[in-house]
Order: sequence, then C-alpha cells, then structure tokens
Amino acid sequence: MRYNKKMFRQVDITLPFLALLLVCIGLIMISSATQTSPEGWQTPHVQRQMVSAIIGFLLMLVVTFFDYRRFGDYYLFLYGGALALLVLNLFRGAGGVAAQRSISIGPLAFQPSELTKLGVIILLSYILSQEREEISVTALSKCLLGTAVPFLLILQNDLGTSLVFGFILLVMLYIAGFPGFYLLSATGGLVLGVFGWILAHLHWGVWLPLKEYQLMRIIVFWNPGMDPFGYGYHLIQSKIAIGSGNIMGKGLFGGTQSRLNFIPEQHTDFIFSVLGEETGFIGAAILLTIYLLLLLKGLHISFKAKDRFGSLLAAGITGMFGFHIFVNIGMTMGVFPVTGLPLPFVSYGGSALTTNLLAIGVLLNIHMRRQKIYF
Amino acid sequence: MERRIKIGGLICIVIFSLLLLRLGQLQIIHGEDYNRLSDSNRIENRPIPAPRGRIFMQKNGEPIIAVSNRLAYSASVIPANIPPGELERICQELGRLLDMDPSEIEERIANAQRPLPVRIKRNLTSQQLLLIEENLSMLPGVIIEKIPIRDNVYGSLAAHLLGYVGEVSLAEISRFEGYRSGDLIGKNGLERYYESYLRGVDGVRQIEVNAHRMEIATLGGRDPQPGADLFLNIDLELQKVAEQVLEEKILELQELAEEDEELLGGPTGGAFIAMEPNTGKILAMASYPTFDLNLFAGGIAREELEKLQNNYHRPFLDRNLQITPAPGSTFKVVSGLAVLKDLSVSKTRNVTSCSGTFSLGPQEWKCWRDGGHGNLTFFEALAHSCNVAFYRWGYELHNEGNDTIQQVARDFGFGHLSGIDLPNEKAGIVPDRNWKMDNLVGPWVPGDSVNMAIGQGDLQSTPLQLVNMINTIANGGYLMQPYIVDRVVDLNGEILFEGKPQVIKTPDISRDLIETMQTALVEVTEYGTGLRGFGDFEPRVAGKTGTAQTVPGQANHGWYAGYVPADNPEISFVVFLEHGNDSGFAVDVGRAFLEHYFPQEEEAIEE
Repeated sequence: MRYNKKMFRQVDITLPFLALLLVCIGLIMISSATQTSPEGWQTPHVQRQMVSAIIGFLLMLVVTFFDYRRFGDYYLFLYGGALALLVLNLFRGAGGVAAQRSISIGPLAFQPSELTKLGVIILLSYILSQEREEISVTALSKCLLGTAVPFLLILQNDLGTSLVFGFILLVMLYIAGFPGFYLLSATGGLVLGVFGWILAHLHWGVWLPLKEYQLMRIIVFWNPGMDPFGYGYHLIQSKIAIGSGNIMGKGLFGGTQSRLNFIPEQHTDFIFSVLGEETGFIGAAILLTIYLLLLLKGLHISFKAKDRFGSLLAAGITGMFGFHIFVNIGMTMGVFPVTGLPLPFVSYGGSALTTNLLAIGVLLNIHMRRQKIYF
Repeated sequence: MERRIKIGGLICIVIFSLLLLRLGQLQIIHGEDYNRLSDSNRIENRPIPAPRGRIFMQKNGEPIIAVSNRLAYSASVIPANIPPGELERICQELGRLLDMDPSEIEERIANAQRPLPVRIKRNLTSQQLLLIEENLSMLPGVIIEKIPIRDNVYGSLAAHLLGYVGEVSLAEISRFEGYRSGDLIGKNGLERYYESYLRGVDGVRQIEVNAHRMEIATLGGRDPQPGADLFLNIDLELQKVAEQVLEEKILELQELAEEDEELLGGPTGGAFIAMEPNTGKILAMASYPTFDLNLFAGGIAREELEKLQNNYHRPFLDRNLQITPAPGSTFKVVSGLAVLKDLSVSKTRNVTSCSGTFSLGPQEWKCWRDGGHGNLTFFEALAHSCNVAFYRWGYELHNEGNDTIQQVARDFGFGHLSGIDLPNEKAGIVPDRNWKMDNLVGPWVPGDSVNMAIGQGDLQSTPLQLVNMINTIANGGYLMQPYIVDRVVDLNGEILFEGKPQVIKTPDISRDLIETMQTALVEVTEYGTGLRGFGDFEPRVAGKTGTAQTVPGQANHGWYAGYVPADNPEISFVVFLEHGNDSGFAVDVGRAFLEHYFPQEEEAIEE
C-alpha cells in the first residue's frame, strides 16, 4: 500500500462530485418513476439504490488506497475472476430462466457482467501498455480473444452489454495507437457485414445468432410504426414522453407518461424519458452537460496519466461510460435501437451503480498518482 | 496518444451536440405534437348514462313511485383499449367469468360504435363483480361501469302498460335520431310511447387512465340530465286488485279445466280495464299472463327471452289493445242502439219472440237458450241477450238497405284506433259491403248482418274499444279518448305535457236513446244475464255480458262490459277472458274487482 498524505492533496473532487450529482439526480428520478401506484408513496427502489450508492462510494474510497499499477500486476487474476463469475452465472441461468443475469450474495444480487467490463478494460490496458507505438499481431490477437470470450458469452442474453465490450476494444485500440484507417475499415466492415447478415436473414432466412426480440428491436428502430403496440411501443412512448416535456417539463413527479406507466422500464433503461418529460429541455440539457463534463474529465485523466497503462485504463473506463450514455440516451430519443443498457449513475440498478462508482475510484486512483514525484 | 485522446474529447463534444439537437427537435420543435399525443394517451371521455325519468302511479290521489332507477355494475369493454390480437382471449375469458357465450360477446364488440364502451353485462351479481374486478389486470380494455338501470318496484305489476327498455336495435338506430349502438330505448308500453320524455341526456366524464387503460383520476366532465317523470292516472291499488282478481279467476278455471273437458283447457289469458267515465282516464289496465319487468333491468339473457317469446300463452301480448276477438253479445249495446234508432221499436210492448232458432233459407241460427225465450220486449231481449231477437233485427236492418249498425259501431269507436298513449294498438274491424268486397272478395249477404247483430262474424274489437263503448253509454253519449299519462314533469318541476280529457266523437244517437240503453243495461242486472253476478250488488251495476264464439274446438271468449254506479257512474270497466268459455266467469271477475271498490256489507255477514 503506497500512499502518503501529500497524495490526497492531489485528489480532484470534480469527478466524485459529478458522480454524486448524477446519483442524486438518479434517486430523484427513480422516486418519481416508481410513483405509479395511486396508493401512497413507494420507496423500496429508492432505498435500495441508496444502499448501492453508499456501497459504491465506499468502494470508490477503498480502491484509491491501492496503486492502480497493482491491477496490471494481477491483470490475469482480475480478468479471470470476473470471467469465472460470469460463466458460473451463465450455467445457473442455463437452468431455464432467461433473464437470469445476477448472482445473489445474501440479500444482495449482483450482475457479474458489470464487473466483467472492468476486467476486460484492465486486461486490454495491460496487454496494450506492454506494446510501443507498433502493436504486434500477438498482442492484437490476445486483445481480440480477451474481448471475444465475454462478448460471445453475453451475446445470447444481452446484446447491448456485449456491444459494450466491442466498443471498449475499439476505443482502447485507438488510444493505444492502432492505425485509424484499419480501425475505421474494420468497424465499418463489421457494421455493414452485420447489416447484410440481417438483410439476408430477413430475405432468405439465413441463420442469425439473435433472438426474435433483439431482431425486432432493430427492425422497429427503422420503422417504429410497424408494430406500435408491440416492439415499437417502447420507442414511441419514450419519444412522446420526452417530446411532451417541452422546454420547462411537466414538473417533478408530474410526468403523465411516467406516472401512468406509459413508459416501460421507466426507472431503469428509460429513466431519461422520465427526466425529459418532467424537467423538459432545460433539465435534459443540464444532465447532458454533466455527462459531457464527466467524460471530458475522464479523458483529461487519461491525458495526464503517469504511464501508458494508466492512460489506457482511464480511456477504457471513459469509453465504457460514453458508450452507455450515448446508446441509452440515443435509444430513448429514437436515434439508436433499443438495447438493455442502463444510464450510468442514474438508472435504477445496484450492480451497475456500484461498479460505475468503483470505476470512478479507479479514475481517481490514476489521477492521484499522476506525478512521478510521489514515487 | 495524447493527440488521439484529444480527438476522443472532440468526438464526445460532437456526439453530445447531436444529442442536444435531437432533444431540441423533440421537445421544442415537435413539443406541441408530442403534448397532444401524451394527452390522448392518458385522457379518455367516457359517457355517463342519464337515468331515465321515473314513473308514478296514484295512491289515494297522491303520486307513488312505480318505476325508478338503481345503480348497477356493468362489465363493459372499450374496444379501442383492447391490445391487438387479444380480442379473442378476452372474449373467452369474459364469457367464462360471466357465463356467456364468447361468440355473442365478440359479436357485440364487433357491432359497437367506437370509442364508446360496449356494455357486455349490465347488471352484475356481486359474485360476478368480484370475479371481474379480481381479473381486471388480465382483461385489458374491460372496465366496470356504474350505470343506472330500471327498477320496477312492483315487478310484474302493469308490465304491459309500463313496458321495458333494451338496447337499440339497428333498425331503431336508423329510424330514430340521436341513438348510438348500446344506448337504451323503451321497447314497448309507456317506456316506448314516452321515450322522448323519459330519456335523459347522457353526461360525459373525462378521466385519466394509465397505460393499462385503468382509471386513475377524474379530470372533469358534464353531468347527465335525468329524463322527465311520468305521472299516471293508473291507481296503484286498483291495478293490483285488477291483476289479482283476473289471475285468480284464470288460475281457478285452468285448474277446473284439468278435470272438466267442457272447458277445453281453460282460459289462455285475459284483460281488464277500468276507466273514469267522464274523462277517459285509465285507472287500471291488466293483461294476463304477465311477466317480470325486472328481468329486463340489466338486459335479459337470450335464452330467457326466447323462453318467454315461445311461451304458448304469449305473455308479451297486451291483451287490452293488441288482440281483436269478436265482441260477442256485448256488441248488442251497439246493435240495440241501431235497432232503436232505425226500426222504431216500442220499448214497452212485446216486439219480438224467440222460438230458439232463426232461419234464413237453408241457414239456421240458434239462440243460446234451447227452446227460446218466447215473447220479448226490447229490454227483455237485451237483458236476456236473446240472439234470435237480434238475428231478426239484423235481418230487418239489412232489408232496410242501410248499414246503421256499422255507423253506430264506428261512432262508438269500433274499427279505429282509440289513440290511447300506448304503442302497437290494434284498430279491429267493422266489416261492411266494401270491406267484404276488398278483403274476402264476396258480396255482403243477409247472413253477414245477422251475425254482426250479435257481435260475431268478421267483427273484431279490442277490449279497450269495448270499455270505450260502454263508457260512452255511462257518460251519456261521449266517446272519450282513453289516456294513461296525466302529466310529464321535468327535473325542475316544469310540466312538459299534460293529458286532458278529450271527446273523440259524439255519436249520432239522441240523448233519449242513450238513456234507454242505460235502462236496458240496468235491467240486464235486475233480471237478465247479469242477475246472478250483480243482482245483489250495491250500488247498482249496469252492463252487458258476452260470450263470443271462436273457432270450433276452442272455448268461447267470456266478456263483460259495465259501469257503476248505474245512476251516477264512477267507473267503467271491461273484463275479457280469452277462451274463458262463459261470460259468467267474466262477471265473476268484475264482481271480485268491484267488491274491493265498493265493499259489500251483506257479503261480510254471509261469510
């Protein structure tokens, strides 16, 4: 454990402050989104989210005590451990329940896929930090393999989360200096390939490793009116909610779309729709600004990091946040297909919240140890 | 590396700018459209059915409520709220919970006018209500409504007169303005005749619903306006008595008929009408068999309705004005007047004789008394209801070459609608030369006049026309318009309509002859066919019996038409026993009724 008092003077409270702000906004929106029953005040979701937040902030604090470079030393152990939890959970889930994504420890349920994201980021950061500007084929292969395993394990149940792994890989390869042209062509090729695959599936019935609902979500993204009461419903109602918020919003706890249950999953994946409806353009723009500041701060930490490992770690975490934010908000406004990605710090969900706060802790850690003078 | 991180930051700023633009597009540019969409998501207008006007009878001159409304729970479906593809499942489920045929429910929803709620079952039992409420979350589009339904305080009392309500048929929607499918409308009786007054104006309730289309809050609306109330001339106690005495006699005769084959099965129904002589107000009007109006309160089940419709005795038929049997000898009041008017017979001397038969060429008619009545005065002929005397007079009138009987009959209301304030009245038939040519394609022969003189042949009249006939004698020669509703009063106490006594016609018969007929009708009671029934009755009853022949093999109809007291009539009445075999039984019914109206002291001592 290497730290001293001077190090804590280097602590930049901007990041935890932004996280705290987001958590508070989240708590308010969750309490509004869960007031759908006409009988009295409902608080269980808010209470559970508060507990998760407290645990998350404690973890954030604890993780700053360990030098982040230790993560590099134990990268295989951390990655392997996260992956083992994931596999264990998949086997349990294979018992039949489709939505089985969590592991229960006493009263707490934890989704290992959240932790796996951090595991992959640490793995990639370590492998790529060992390379200089030119990334070797061996390293690239390791990276691809390390990402592909969780990607494929999760793909079956949760398309959105597996895409997070792909995006993390993309971001980190880019930051590590992989030639932009190849990255762009590979990504573009992949997107076109998948698009073609889907078209082939629709026209000629070619096999596709997607479930019916996953495919439908992509199709209704192009044409929400096709199935307005089925797969298009979420999207239409979410857009109505946000749009009807106008500039000032309908007021906290005054959103009719949310209060009357027109928005599905409104305290988790579609919490932004509630915020958009109740606080209007002003509230939504403020939230977007906070997220932008958070991401820029994350990139700033990556920029200032002492070593290549820290830089990649910070960029990977920031990329993870960015992807979640963009995909989630884009989805509620109909600019991205509906996936099951929560909005970081705001959506209800303990695993994601604690993991995200833990990740903030890692960023703080990197930031605290940015100057060589302390070592 | 540093450069790439900076580019990353730039990308973030660009993406967030795009999101912000999209946000502005949704919330600012299209904000109003989305506002409307969110309102149409959550706001629904649901109609509040207006309670129908109440119906009051009289009791000791005071109004007493006979038909009112009560709140009931209805299981209703809002078709627009049923998720696509769910219709069949919901119909199955509702059918199971309500014990109805799912295809019937589906049919009703298909025929509905959107977006109104379709009331699948209007009067839920508490158990059904509970079942539906418990399963409501599994039944999207199904709501429970509180609606007013008809409450007939006395059940089957005056069922034909009051009538019932039901959902408008497609034919009615196209015939009457302002009705939409699912609305209620009076189907018959007063409910039908006064529909425009009784029907109120539906209100509307603007409510907020959640995504499951379940009601969350009331936002506003307009109260329904109840329909106007009817105040009837019908006297509750007289109506009860009339129905009771009629039913008792018919049941008694039906029981007798089980052992006595001569009764040919006993009566199949009956009618009783009581009228106020000087005004034409209907005081009581009973038709048997009857049915329970409350069966219709929540909409009658199909099989139950079919059971009633297919009943051999036809309980829905109002035997006061929807059947036209031959009046039989009661019609001798009319033919008697024609005789007095045209044949200038002496009132005191013997003017005719009866040997038991009347022959005309090869045809022979019999008097009802074997062996005949011997020599008779006009009064005696009428009092004993001697057929031969009237055959002869009918033939004589025929030879005169005019149709005085028809004229008098029409003057007394036969052959056309009385104009009573009830729907589906029948006019009956007064046959004459033209009618026979048109309808039976044959010339009018002497036998037709002979038959008509005793109220047989092709002559047809409703019991209502007979009470109107006897009433014209009772009040000294005014054919009154019978009416049931005294006034229609709206919620604010304003009188919208007032029934007034109206003289339809003053028959072309001199006052003198009317008084002669009044005397004759008293003599019927003093020594004639009314003696057995009313001879000892105080006050004196005037009236005429009648036994009308029907088709061979079926029992005759029994009639009695009279008024009381004979010298200053307070009430005119008619009794009709369908296939009642003998007028004597009709007299019994009349007597039983009058005993309630004028309690008989002797009677009490005898018992």
